[in-house]
Amino acid sequence: MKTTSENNFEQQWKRKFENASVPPPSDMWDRIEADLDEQKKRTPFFLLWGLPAFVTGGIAATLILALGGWFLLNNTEENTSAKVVKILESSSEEVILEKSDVQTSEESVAEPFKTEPQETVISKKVIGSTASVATNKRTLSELPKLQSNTTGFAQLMNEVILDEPKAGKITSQINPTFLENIADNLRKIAPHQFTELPVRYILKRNKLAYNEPIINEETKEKRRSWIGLISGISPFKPNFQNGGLNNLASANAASFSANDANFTIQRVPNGVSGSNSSDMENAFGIPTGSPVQQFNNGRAFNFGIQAGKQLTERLAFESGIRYIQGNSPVNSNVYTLNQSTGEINPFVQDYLTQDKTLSNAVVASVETLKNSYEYLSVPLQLAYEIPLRKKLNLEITGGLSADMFLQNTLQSETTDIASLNAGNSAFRTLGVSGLGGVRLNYLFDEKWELVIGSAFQQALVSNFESGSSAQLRPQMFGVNYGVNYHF
Amino acid sequence: MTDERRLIEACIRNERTAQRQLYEMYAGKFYAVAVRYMKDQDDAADVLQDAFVKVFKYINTFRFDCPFEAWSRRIVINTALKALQKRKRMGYQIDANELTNQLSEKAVDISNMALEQLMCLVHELPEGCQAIFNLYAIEGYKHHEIADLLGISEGTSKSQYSRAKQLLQQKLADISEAEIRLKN
Repeated sequence: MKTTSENNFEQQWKRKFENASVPPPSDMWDRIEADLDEQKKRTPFFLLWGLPAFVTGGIAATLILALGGWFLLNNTEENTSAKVVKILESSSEEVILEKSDVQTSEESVAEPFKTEPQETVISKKVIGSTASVATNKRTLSELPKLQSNTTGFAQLMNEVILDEPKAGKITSQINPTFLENIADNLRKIAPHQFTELPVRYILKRNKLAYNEPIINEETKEKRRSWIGLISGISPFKPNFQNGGLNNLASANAASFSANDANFTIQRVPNGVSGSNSSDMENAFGIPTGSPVQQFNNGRAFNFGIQAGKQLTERLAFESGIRYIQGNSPVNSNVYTLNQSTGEINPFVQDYLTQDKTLSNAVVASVETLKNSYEYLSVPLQLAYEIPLRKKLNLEITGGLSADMFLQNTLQSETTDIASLNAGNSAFRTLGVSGLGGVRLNYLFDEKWELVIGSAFQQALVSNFESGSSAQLRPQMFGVNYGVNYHF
Repeated sequence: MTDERRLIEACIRNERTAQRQLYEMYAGKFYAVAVRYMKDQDDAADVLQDAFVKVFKYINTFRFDCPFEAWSRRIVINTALKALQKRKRMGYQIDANELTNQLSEKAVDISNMALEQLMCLVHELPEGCQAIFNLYAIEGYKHHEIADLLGISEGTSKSQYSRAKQLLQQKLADISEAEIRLKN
């Protein structure tokens, strides 16, 4: 064996091992194949992917929201003092305990350990070699006080101390070593602040754990204020309520058809924009069925900026500005006809603009109109933060949004593009929506955070002015994503 | 189109025969990697199994922009590191006494040593040290990459590597001395 210079050390080892081969166990492929087969069997769950994207998206968002809500509702702190009192009260009448001895405040939990004299007193009482608990009322009253914030522990203690709880007799004698160990443990954990463990731990049982200080420090450090970009996509449900619009169309069409024989109606052929009345006379001939004005679900997207400020350790306020566009194709067979200009408009357009040609309604074949709404929205919402990991938070958000209506664009193959806004139609300038959502925030850098989650928005008032019998209350429930910068 | 590419594309289509062929091609090499990281052969077998399942599961994400062997080898390494972390057996404590000695200026040539013998030497390293030695010396990772990978500081990676190197050199020197004595 010879020696060589040190700088070849890594190269030698690399050369020796980089193409090394060791025969694997003979059953290895069978094991891998079994794993692969098992994964295949699990695929039925993912058959959901066969569904339309917005359905699976909606299901996912619903699940997230429901789980988030469930967690929030179940995350309320249990009144441990009540439990302790209940246990003690039901256990023995002979053990006289004052409820005031059992408190949940952090001070009262830590109190017995704060000063040496008190601790010594307790230790002495607890350690007493054969002391019966029944004879030492003060010791008993101290013990639940020590454990008021650790339910399971408290229960265990009381069960040990009160050997025959139903009969109300205290017959057992305390094992001094056992109590000493408990006192030691309590001394260690008392200074910590206890909270429920995060979601996955409490789905089936409540379990207490103390917060790791580092999480709190990180949270305070990283999340004082932030500004970010946000975007989102979702299905757009217009929630259009007809409000007698079809009846009005039907009545107007019947009246118009009866009064003007030249304009008995049929569907307008493609390419006819109604530039002169003689063309229109040729175009319209036979009156057809009942009016249809159906607003279908479409898609929405939004983007904007948001800024937030931490109010308390867990609660933050957030606002910003977002542009929202939602489309909702309209199936309609009702049009209005301007006899002077030959102009044809969708009936709903003239209804919203209260055009005088509204009475010249005609019912033709169903046509799909492109229909989109644009808003500038200012969300005002609170976010409740639940730390999951050091850099990962779950946030549940809720609030209101002030929605400034920008415009509604309507267009069919046979009519011109119509742009309706609050100035020329029955649309409100300002609407209000309710907001809710669940999202995950991941701190991928010291200052930068990725945000993804589900968001729900529902118009609380109709987009149409109160005088209008028809109503439009758009609803969006989809996925939002963005990036925040903390400062 | 190369045979390997065809094989990979067949694996993307979940063809079991192709998966088997790919396994046969790389099982030995990857098992050697797993054995190098894990002290126990059963653990190494578990790592190999998990790694191949992951390779086949995520093979559709392979973009053919690097050698397949390097891509899948990285999966094996990551699986081994995760297994070690899961067992919480990777300690990175620095033993001050061991680091006080200067590294010897001469190192023993290992080119004629048996692979099994070298593997035993690597296995004798403390587990945290062993992983860092493997990553730096054999896989060629930089210390800052190792630090990111294991969630430790770059300094810890460097010091652990020095320790591993020193221990290995010491063992190799002992073996060398013993051989010389036997010859004499």
